[in-house]
Amino acid sequence: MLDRFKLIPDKRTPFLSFEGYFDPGQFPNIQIIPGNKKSETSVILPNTFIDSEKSDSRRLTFALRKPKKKVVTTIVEEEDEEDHTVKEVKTDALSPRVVSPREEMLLHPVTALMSYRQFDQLNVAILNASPKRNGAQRMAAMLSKRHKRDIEKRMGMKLKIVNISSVREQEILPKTKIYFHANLLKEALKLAQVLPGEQVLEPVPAARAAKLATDVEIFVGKNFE
Amino acid sequence: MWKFLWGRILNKTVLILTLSTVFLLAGVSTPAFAFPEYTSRQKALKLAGVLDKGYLKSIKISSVFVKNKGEDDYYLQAILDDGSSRKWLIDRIRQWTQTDELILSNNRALVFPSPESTDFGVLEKNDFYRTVLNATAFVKTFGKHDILEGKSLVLGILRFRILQEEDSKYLKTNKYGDRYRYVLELENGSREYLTYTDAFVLMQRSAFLEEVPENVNVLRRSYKVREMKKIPLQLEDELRDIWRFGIEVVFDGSVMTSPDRFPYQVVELKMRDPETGQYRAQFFLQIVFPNAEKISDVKGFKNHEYLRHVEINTDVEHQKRVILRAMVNPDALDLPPFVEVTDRNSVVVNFFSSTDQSLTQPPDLPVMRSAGELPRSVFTPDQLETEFETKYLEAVSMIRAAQEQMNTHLRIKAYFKALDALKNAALSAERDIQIAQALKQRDILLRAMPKLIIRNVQMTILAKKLDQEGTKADPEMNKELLAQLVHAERYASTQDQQQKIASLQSILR
Repeated sequence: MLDRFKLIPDKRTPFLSFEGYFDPGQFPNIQIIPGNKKSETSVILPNTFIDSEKSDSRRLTFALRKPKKKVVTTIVEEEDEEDHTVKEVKTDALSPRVVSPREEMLLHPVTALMSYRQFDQLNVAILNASPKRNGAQRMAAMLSKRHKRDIEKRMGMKLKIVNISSVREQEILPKTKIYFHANLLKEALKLAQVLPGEQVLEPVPAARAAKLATDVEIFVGKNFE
Repeated sequence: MWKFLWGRILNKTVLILTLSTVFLLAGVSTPAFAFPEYTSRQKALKLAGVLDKGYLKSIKISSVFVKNKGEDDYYLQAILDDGSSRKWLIDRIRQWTQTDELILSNNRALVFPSPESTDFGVLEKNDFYRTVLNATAFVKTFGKHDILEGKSLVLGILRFRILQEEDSKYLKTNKYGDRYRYVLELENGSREYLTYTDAFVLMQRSAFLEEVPENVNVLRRSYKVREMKKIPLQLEDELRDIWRFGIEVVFDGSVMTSPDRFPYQVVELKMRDPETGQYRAQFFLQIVFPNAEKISDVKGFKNHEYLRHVEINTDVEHQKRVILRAMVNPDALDLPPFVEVTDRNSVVVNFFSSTDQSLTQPPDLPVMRSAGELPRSVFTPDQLETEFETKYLEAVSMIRAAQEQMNTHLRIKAYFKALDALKNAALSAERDIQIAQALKQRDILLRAMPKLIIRNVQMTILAKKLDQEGTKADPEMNKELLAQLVHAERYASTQDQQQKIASLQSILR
């Protein structure tokens, strides 16, 4: 898990330091490849994840050259002087995705079957993404008072609403959206069949999946009456 | 006179009613979050420095001071060149920047990237122009609630322009009230309209690439859909009785996008039943192809296994996107689709079906019923590979490799090896879920093997009879088959299987 990296300047040998939590057994697999230009070098850390809370990208590229004049100023960046050595911060699109054996297993629906366990309770978060107030509360009340037994019977597990709140951004969704973890498509579909109105069901985006503590997230949309 | 008084009273009542209705409606429709009026001391001090020597409605700002209302609520007080002094709340400052009433010195723009936070940034426009004009590629990252949320595509840049009167989005604003300022025309034919805030955020993300790394594919044209092909039903997993079929979407050139950029969603639509006239919920499975276009008629299918009305359509809400869409019965969708990119200019979407749903269920752990927070996967939440994980992954890959083996005899041998590997994994398990999962896979294998062994022995005997009539039997092969039958005998689940095993054993002996 890579938290951050920084360039430690030195006249003769500047050092690039990587901070985070590493498995020493993986060190022999680290590759250092010189680039096309003298000032460019690529360092490949296999099976490494960037801690998204401490760093905002999956891939960081840099060059050993004088720090460029900052293009953009923000309060946060001005306070965080050590990050000025980072020339570019790029997203995961720039490199072919390295898929670990674990990810490979979880990505394929058949092998993923061999990874998950059956559980007896579906934890659901309901968030209001409609312009109407109390959308999440109304849906939660409707689910727990009117449909709970039906849903539980269909899914074969208990339904627990663990969070009712509003989305942080002023984001209004035209339709109610149900985000589910990859192994919970069937449960999400059963939920959608019971909920009134039209729903859109999507797997939780990979960027959010690790942080999501609940099994299913319902964003109550504009269409919820 | 009475008429006049009544008129006044009525007018007053109507006015009160009207006002109450307006306030009520405004209250109902007001978004839950409004931009804050006050900020922290530190941010207020920084903001005052940024605004100094700027212009408000063409009047130069002489000086800006920080004031506070309470202990943590700070705002600004500005003195303009005309001698006037004004109280500036942060939400007003944001509004003025959005409408260009507040302009910073030195060709900079003040931006508030978050619509509910007073965090601000300063876009150095000159630097932005230099960067974007030198850039050859643009990293487009999809925003929240987009089906491609968090994912990116690297697109070739054709041209950058400042919006002019003739542009459709000139002086138009986005949902946060920020005006569109620029347009980035991309080589695949799409356009990105940018506000100052977008420009600021993109600069922070280094979304404009002057030099593209060698291993990065820049999408310079969109994929054009040529045709769709059916991939027939075939056995995917004999142990769990899972079958696979597919749809192959063929494009006009090689697909350079990784499979995770082709996500799926299920959309529910209420449609009127032509017979009863009542609305019924229908579910559509949609696979989204970004950077793709449908420019000619592409024939779909009425049916393909559990899919109905399979067609490929242009996404009307997003640029350069097509959607493979099929109506499905939600009860038939046991497993999600799986996308593969081929080397024949196509993308294959695999769908799965299983007749015995109990086989696709993960193991139940009644002893854990009280602990809802327990991990729901055999893998540990941290990304470190444990001894169990290594061994279990090895066993799973052995099972998958065996399933691809066409020769039944060799397949059975591979399954025996997988059984050993599962035992090793179970022995290294540290949590109940791990051992339960390893034992569940073992039991699935054990349940399937007697049938498989019986079939293999029958076929081997039959083949020998046909091919080598009169020749001597191979003792080594007989020994192997007998050993397999011993195993099958131990785990045979039906009377029929037991009888067949006994009969085959007597033939081989």
